Amino acid sequence: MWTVDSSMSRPEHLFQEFIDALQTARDDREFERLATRSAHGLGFRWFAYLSMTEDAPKLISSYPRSWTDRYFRLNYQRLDPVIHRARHEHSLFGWTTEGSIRPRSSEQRRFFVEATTFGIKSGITMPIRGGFGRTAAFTLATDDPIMQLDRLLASSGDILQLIGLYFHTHVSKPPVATADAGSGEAILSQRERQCLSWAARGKTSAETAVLVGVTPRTIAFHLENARRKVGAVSIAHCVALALRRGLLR
Amino acid sequence: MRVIVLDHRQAGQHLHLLAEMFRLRRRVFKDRLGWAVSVSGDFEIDIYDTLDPTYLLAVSEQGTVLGCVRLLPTTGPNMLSDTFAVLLGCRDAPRSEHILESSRFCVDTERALQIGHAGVNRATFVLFAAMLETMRARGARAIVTVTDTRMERILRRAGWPLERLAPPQILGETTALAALLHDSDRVLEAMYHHAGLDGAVVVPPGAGAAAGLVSLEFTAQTG
Repeated sequence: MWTVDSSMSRPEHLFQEFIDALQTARDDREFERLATRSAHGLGFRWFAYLSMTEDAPKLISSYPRSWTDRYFRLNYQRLDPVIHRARHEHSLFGWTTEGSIRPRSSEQRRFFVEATTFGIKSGITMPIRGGFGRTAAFTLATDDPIMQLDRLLASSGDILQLIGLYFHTHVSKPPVATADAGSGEAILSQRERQCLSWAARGKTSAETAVLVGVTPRTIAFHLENARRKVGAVSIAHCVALALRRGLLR
Repeated sequence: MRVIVLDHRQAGQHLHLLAEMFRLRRRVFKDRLGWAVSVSGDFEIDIYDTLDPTYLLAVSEQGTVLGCVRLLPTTGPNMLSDTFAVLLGCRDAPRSEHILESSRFCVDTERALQIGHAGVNRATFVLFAAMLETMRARGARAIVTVTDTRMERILRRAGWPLERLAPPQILGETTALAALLHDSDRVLEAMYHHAGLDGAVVVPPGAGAAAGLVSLEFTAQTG
């Protein structure tokens, strides 16, 4: 469903295409594909979205796999000067692996040298603040060391910020938010509804296990699946949401 | 002043207005009111912005966003049912094709300087009229909203009183409440009058031929 309008400029077209694709993206692969398209449209080679929740970072990116595998194996998110800066700043910034961010240690210097061997030379990063102290960063990167980042920041700052923020907000929304009204019942299996119903009546997993005739671990498994599907943060929250949406009767 | 109706299909065309709206929301809800909203850079945006809401933007002749409000259907996830259900007491959240939900209503009082009837900002009247128009265009008869007692007073002064769904509760820095705003000919006439609108109506999308933008605007006359 592309909106075609000859009065739109190129960046406006690009943003419209991005927003349209976001509305229908269902999984990380689709998010990756649509952001890759936008990155190319804006003249960048790669994009990388890194979300730091508790201790488990989540990455969606088009960087070479050999680089991202190495990055996580060596816990580079703790070292990466770009991520470090994104954690402490609030506005969009440009960087190059040769200059604009001064490495604080020889480790960081080695990190930049390594990134350069994978072709990563410069980029623009949008720091993102989630709730509850979570942070994320949306980066567009290029192998072109002389890209005029400052000029791009000045001319296209809004579109870059909107792309980063919309991407983050769509990726982090609970899955239920995309379900059409009324289809909620279908998303919970019969077993999940059964376990939730007992939880709603105040039964513990151990009690429910006896009632249903399976192990407490199985009950916990079904409850956790239900929680994830409903987009709740806890089992209590899940029970409340399920009751409110009429998923339990 | 005019009101522009935006949903995701016009996002590209009105990229600048969209950015200005998120900036205004940050200035109002985070900086001025101190709400616990999530902000990044100079924008305020939340998960309800991913659900393809309809935004009504009050825009000056110079193209400045003077005020905005966000509308969502109550048949899907919305702020009252999914985040602030506690404000309903023991009632269920309204869920009907005939009820829309509004949130993030704000007016930039540093830029919208025309004060009208009862000391209420003219941009506020313009947005209220646009809310009533949009409600009618969608076949809805009421708007449900999570708001605070400050906004409740503004609505009463403006002549569009809220119907509380439950007693207000203190949430952080604000005294919040869930309430209904009903459609009414008398209220719409009053909003037109106070806003200096000469009874403008929403031109249905498509009626303005290829002029997508024009067909989605209401024009407010300043005379």
